[in-house]
Amino acid sequence: MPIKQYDVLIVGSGHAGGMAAKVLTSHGISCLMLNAGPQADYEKDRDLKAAHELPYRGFNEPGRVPHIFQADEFNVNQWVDEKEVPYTHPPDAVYNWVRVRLLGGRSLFWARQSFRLSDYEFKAADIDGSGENWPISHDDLSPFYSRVEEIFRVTGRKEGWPQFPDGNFVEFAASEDTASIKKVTEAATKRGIQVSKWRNALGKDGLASSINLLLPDALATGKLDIVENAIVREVSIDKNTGLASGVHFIDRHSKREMHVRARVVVIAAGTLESTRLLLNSKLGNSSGVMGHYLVDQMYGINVVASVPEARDGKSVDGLMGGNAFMPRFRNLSKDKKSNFIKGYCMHMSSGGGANPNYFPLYGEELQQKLDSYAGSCVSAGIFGERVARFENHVRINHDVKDAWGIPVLHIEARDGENEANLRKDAADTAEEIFHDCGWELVCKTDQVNPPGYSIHEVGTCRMGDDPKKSVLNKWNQTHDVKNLLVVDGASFVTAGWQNPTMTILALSMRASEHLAEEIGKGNFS
Amino acid sequence: MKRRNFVQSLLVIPATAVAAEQTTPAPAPVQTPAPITRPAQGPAKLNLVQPDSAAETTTGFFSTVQFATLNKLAELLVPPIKEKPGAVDAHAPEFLDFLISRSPAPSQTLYREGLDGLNASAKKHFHKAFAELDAKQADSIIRPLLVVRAWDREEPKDLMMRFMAQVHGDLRTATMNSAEWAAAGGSSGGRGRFNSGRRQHWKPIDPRAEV
Repeated sequence: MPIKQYDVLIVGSGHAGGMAAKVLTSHGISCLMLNAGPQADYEKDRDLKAAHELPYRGFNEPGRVPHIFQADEFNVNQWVDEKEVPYTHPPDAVYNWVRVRLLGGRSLFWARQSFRLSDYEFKAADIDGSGENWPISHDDLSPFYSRVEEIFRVTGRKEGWPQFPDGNFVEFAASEDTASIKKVTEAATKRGIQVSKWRNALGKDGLASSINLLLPDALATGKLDIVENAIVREVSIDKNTGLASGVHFIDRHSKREMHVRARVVVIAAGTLESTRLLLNSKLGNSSGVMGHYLVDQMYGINVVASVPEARDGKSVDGLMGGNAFMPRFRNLSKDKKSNFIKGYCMHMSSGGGANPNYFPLYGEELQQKLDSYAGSCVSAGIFGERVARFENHVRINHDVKDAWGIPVLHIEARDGENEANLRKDAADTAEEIFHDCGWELVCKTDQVNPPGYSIHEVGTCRMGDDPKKSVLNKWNQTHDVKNLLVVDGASFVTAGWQNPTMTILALSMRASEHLAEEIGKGNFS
Repeated sequence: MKRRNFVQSLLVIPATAVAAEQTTPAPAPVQTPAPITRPAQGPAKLNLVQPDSAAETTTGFFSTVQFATLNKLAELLVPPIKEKPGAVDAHAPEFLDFLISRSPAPSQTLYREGLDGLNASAKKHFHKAFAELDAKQADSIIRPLLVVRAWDREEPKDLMMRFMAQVHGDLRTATMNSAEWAAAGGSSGGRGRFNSGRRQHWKPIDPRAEV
């Protein structure tokens, strides 16, 4: 059987790779997608269990995935095994790298919050003097966001606020706020904080993944082939042209080495795996910034209040429940200065109970307290932007290799003074809002999870117009090798406070359409 | 198809299908021979019991004194309340002996030093083992070690406070995730990590690579 020839190789099958496949195949371009893990069989690979039926009573196998705080014994098999694909970090700088290698990648499990970045992020350097602007603006990406929002069926309430650009939403199912959410909204509004609602991707049948919204269309064209369990080790280069010629990969089970050729290589392995592949390939880094400016969002600040009239089972219908969402409200105008740059969003959720660790009690006394506070709590959390810094970076650790002999990543990311000041402001602001509501403060912390926990890691191959300061151009092509693209979150210049999925999808769509045009013009042939 | 399976398949024709056959003319007999295929389903799964309902966990990671201290903590921190079993009823100390024996060294050290610390404190103040203290005496030792944590991963700097936060959480989870808890009425009432009803579980999807 003759070996098939492909125009484009796509490494990775998540939202970024799936969108590249959908767009490119729609233009008649033949693609081969390589995915490092298997396709999950939702019938065979899942069952229903109670915690006591699992080997570790729900605690999980100790030491299996120590960096994945989201892991429990029910979901542990969906994540990448840290023993198979380890990474290193300094002892004083824990990094949570949360990965999925199943076909569809993390698009199988995302929380579906769907926000656009605004020009407060795209043009952040103009606003706060930090780092670099993106080479594109919201206007450039807006048409692509709109198409992505249509595919993913994003629902949201239109507001007309520049820091929270509206999208091409499906109808927002408005329900009346409960009295507690009305009170929070009023208190926040008095402080000049705008209050909206979550925006989420409805997707289809409860799933908004590459495997149900993107890849089926691509496969239906007959132009896409997908190989599972193909672990890409290195991008190969044609010595005569200096262009990418294909990739070397290893079969996950047999460890057989293979090589596949294509005219273009599109990397969409999920930010840090994409960067790891390029660093291991020693490609695309003439700028010296590859691996640098790693950034994500701070998650974890927790401020909780209790509504007295909802305690001891006295709550009435319409008092508790629901949520309020406050998109970034700090540093939106240059004349209002704070002791930090950038901002955070705050989300409040009404109607929960208290956690046992909120009280220094035990036994029956603790249980009485928990029973009394059940359903009476309003909690505030934030997603806070971290500053993209050169020193927060990844590099190859040649001393440690994964199960396939591929050198692993060393990740170094630390928070600085800006992050500390932002966190404090967020926790204080939540406390003040609760105080204004007249509620009892149950607990407050401005502590956050380690970097990476948000599963929103972006940067490390940032885009830009200047090849000396960036890895990719504004079309996600590497400045150094024009037929080598990175279309996932690695291309981000700043993280923003927003969940990145919509932006990853819009960037991949935009880059892929440009690539299709280039291929149509006979480039890369 | 084996005869037994064939007979079983006749027995499980749904009532609606039978009713339909009674009112609809029989279809013309199919002329082509049936292909040889494996049965769509294997034999019905048999009911099994969990080992916990039939056997005790063999403990041995903690010393006798450490285990007695852990058992006393279980009795105090998570007692039976109303219809729900306590940590001792749920064999949580035995389970934690197993879990900690498999845990990374820092967890093992925290547990051992924490349990030893409680016992040393009991000896110092009451001249007897922690396991032998009455509730009031034990309270005077453990209450000052409990701290408010707004965030469940917040770790107190003091070792004894850190241990108390850890063991308290572990005892609660081991109790509320137990078969005894599930048998006592199902939901955790928001008191555990999971309710004791069944939920979606991902099985190992592929053989893990040889590391």
